[in-house]
Amino acid sequence: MEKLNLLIFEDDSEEVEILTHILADEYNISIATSYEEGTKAFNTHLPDIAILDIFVDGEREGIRFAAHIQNTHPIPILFLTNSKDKLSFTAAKKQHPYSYLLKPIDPHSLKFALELAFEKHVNQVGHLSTKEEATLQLDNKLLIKKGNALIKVVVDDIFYIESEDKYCYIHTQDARFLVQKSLKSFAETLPNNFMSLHRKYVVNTNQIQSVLPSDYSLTLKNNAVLPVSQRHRKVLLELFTIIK
Amino acid sequence: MSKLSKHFIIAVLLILPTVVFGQNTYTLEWFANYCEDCEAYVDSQKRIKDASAWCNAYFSFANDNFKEAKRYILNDTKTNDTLKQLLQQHILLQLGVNTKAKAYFLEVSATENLNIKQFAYKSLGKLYFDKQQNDSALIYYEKALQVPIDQSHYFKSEIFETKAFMYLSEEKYPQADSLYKKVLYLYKQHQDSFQIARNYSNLGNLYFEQYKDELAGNYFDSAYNYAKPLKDFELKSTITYNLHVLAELSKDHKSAINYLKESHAYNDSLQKQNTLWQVAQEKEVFNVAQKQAELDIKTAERNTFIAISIGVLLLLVVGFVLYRKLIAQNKKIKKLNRELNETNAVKNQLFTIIAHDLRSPVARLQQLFQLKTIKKDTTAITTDKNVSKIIDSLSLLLDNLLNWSLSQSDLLMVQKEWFPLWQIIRQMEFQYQSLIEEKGIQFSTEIDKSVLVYGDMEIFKIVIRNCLDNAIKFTPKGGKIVISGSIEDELFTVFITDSGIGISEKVLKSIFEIQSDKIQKDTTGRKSSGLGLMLTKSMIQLNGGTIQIKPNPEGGTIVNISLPYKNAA
Repeated sequence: MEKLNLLIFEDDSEEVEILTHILADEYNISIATSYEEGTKAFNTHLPDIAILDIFVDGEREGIRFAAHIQNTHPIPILFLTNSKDKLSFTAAKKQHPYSYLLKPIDPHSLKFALELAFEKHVNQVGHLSTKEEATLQLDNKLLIKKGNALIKVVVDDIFYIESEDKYCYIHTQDARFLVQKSLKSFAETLPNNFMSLHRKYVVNTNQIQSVLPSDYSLTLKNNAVLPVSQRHRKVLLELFTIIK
Repeated sequence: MSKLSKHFIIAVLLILPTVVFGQNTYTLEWFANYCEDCEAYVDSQKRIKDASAWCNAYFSFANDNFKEAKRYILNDTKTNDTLKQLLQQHILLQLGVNTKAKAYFLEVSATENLNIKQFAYKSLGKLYFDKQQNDSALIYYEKALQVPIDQSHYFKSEIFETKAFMYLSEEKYPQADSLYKKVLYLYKQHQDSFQIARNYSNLGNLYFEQYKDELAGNYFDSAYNYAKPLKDFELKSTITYNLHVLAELSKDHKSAINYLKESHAYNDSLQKQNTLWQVAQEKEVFNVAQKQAELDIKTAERNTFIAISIGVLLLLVVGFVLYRKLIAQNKKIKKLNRELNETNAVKNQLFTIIAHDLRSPVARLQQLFQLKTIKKDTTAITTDKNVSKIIDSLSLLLDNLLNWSLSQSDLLMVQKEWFPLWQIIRQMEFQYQSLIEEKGIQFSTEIDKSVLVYGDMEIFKIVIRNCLDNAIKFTPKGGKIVISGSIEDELFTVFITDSGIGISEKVLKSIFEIQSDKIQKDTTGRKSSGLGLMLTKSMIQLNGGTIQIKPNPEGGTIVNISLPYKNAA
């Protein structure tokens, strides 16, 4: 369980203050006030999302920076702007799909805009914002909505997923998260090292500590013990053969 | 004696026309002397094309067409007046009007021009002869003969012949005989077969009168011989008839019958010729009429053509003038339009700048207050709720103004996408929370969370914001506002139902137009211009949706906003 990394590209300290005030609990924030700072921070900080003011230093540096992001390591981008006129948006539109937020910023709009930016990035609008216990998979990480906050879970850090009706529990080293998603649909989007060894569990095989030969029960690295159903034992054996 | 008288009557009746004919020959010859074409005509007996008016008059006169002749004379402008007058008087004579002619001839006879003098005397002589006043006729003939110039043989022979005729009628046979022989001699000198034949016939008559039938027969025979090669059926008929009479008298019945037959034959031919001539005449009249008709048609066609041409030309001119005017007008209109567009653009730009420049500081102020509220920081400015309320309403007004001016100058950015509806409603609820609480309004939303609608999110926010703002404004304290939704076909309709003061039917009809007379007062007594609603309509249309405002049956108003929708996966 980690905080999401956020890069704020904004030279107006008041705006920065408001943004950090609203988002500091939820995000690891790095701030850049110029293009050079921005690129540097982007390369070292590896943000999960960026909030860019279109106008920085009186130029459309936000657009330029967005282009840099898109060309190197694309992440969701949220533009901040003052007005909805074509002149400021024509250039931004090239960074499609993009999200924007009109000033003044209020907490609800901002948080919603960020969620929407994540959703748009993977073309799954509504997956986070329309549900209470929602999750969204971005490459090798899961965004999990807990209350009003977003939590990041690196997919490889997941130990196993446990089915609970239409919901799932995601178990990590030291926490579990309830998400509104079926185990089956989860299993489809996860990488190959996640295996269905029981109708109630999908296990990250990288996290298996040991297999008990008597009943084929698994002991994971966090000492959790999971059963393996009869028909999945063969698959487990094959896996270990390969591993050996 | 009865027989003789009968002979005489026949003879005289037959001879008379030939005398008249002889008289005219000289007159014609005299007039012809004054015109080359006329002389040519006398020679060829054919009308000449494009002849002068005089020549045409002459021709018509010679062919006994006196009316036509008269017309030609009137048209003639070249010939001298005396000549024209003379011809005119002769025409009058031919038509039997003597008095005027007589006076004129007498007047002219006083002239120095001997030629005309002689002609006038000659004409007078003939005039009196026609009136059977032989004494007077003789006096003028004598005067004519005394004019000291050369005379044509026609002149002399005609006078002599007339005289001879007079002697004959007075039974002065020797004088008549001598004169006829003089005339015969003159004609023989000019080898004029026709006149010779006629004179022999005259002599025949003369001797017939004297009961010298044998001599008369000889003369008639001579006349017959001379007449034979001629084509004058009238003369031939007369001569043969006379021969028939003589043969009858000498009991030579066979010859008599032959002569009679021949005479009849000539008569027939004469009639035929006359008929032919008449037919030809009629044909010519017809042809002339036809040509005239053709000419009339052509003239009419030409006139029509000219009329049409003039009409078309006029139309073109009028069209051209109108076209020029139209172009000038168009130019003016275009210029005015351009100016108007420029002015409008300037106005829109001004609006945009004002709204834009005002918006930023107001937004900052708003944000600042928010921040202070969030931080529970009371150190700075007052936390009086009224200040933030004023700032909020100012902000909405500025947003409306900015969006309106942007859309007017086509600068408003429209980015349509799917977005979750309830999130937007929740944001609006959050923005108006303090106001709702302050008024003690029962507020609830009944929107399915999974609904995604399609449109520009920020524009949709403006719409909802305005509608909610209105609902709160016009709902009294302790009232109720419900935001609900339902699916209709492909559209999702959001209902914003309030228990407010409602809108009258009259105002509802024009609710989306800017009009000063439908200003409504809200629950606090403040006036509302309706700018928000007007903007709402155009904004929802930009979003591809519709908006309707209906009265709430339970009191208040229901706003229906419809947009395309789908459910989130």
